[in-house]
Amino acid sequence: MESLLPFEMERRRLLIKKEAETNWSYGQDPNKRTMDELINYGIINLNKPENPTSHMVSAYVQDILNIKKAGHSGTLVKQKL
Amino acid sequence: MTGVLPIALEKATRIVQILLKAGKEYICLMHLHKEISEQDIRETVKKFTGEIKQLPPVKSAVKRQERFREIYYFNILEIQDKDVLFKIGCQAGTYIRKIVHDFGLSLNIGANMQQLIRTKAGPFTDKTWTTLHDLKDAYELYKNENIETEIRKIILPVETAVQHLPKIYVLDSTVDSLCHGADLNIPGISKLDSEIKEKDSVAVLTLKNELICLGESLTTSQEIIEKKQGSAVKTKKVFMPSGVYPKFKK
Repeated sequence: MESLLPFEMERRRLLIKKEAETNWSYGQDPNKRTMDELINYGIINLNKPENPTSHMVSAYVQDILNIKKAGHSGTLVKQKL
Repeated sequence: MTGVLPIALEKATRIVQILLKAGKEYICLMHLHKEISEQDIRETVKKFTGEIKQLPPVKSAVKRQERFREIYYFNILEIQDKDVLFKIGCQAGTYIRKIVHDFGLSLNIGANMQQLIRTKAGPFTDKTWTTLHDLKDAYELYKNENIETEIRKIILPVETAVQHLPKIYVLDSTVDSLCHGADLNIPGISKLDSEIKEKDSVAVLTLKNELICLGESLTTSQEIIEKKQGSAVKTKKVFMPSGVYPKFKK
């Protein structure tokens, strides 16, 4: 059965407007970031457990990684059954 | 509810706003209040596929007025007596509990939601999710023994969160002005995805694949290729700080 979101069905091709090189003396390949850089500027795909609210889960992540800010997307809040 | 909950860290925190607007997928267990034929269930699924009208529930984050939502797919996985397990792909802001309630009303028998698991939030899926427990273990391994392999599988670059957006790659000489909040003009573009339409949310990246900013497209891929001048993207949210790339004189 078909189960693809719209963006998963887009057939995007990369178009070249102007051929160009990048100078590697500044900036950085995102995959080469240090652990500190990732913890300061990264994202986690978490499987939210049943009971704590999303806010609580964000707070757990802050505690585990010893950071000040962690934000979740959307309201995966505990719902009454 | 359980399931996919992307959590952005520190300076990446604002990226979650783009995921709020992304399509979602859920697996839901619906309990019907009376037995009914499989054919009736399947007929009702058709009514809840495509464009649907939905009144947000009383306790919701948005204004309580009927609005259209797009249901991309609604697949029944299993029916057992009065329990129906289904997978649903939907536009952001669709209330699944409400769909279940309305499904029951439509069959004149009533229904309620027993369980809900989010399996996709934009580019993040149940195929790659991690648990709090695994995060903790991987972080301890990194802190105590300086082993990065596990934690690197879990904490991903912020760019992972824009995989679902069309992308535009700009010249090194254009990067710093975008970091200051300037809009992107056509001459600053090196490469771009096809199929970009006016008003699309787009991600603007460097040629090294670093996220610079998110913005709204002011034109189409076709026009960007054909034209020499003009605005391409209205810059909305800047992620890269200024000074990473040098200032270039015009």
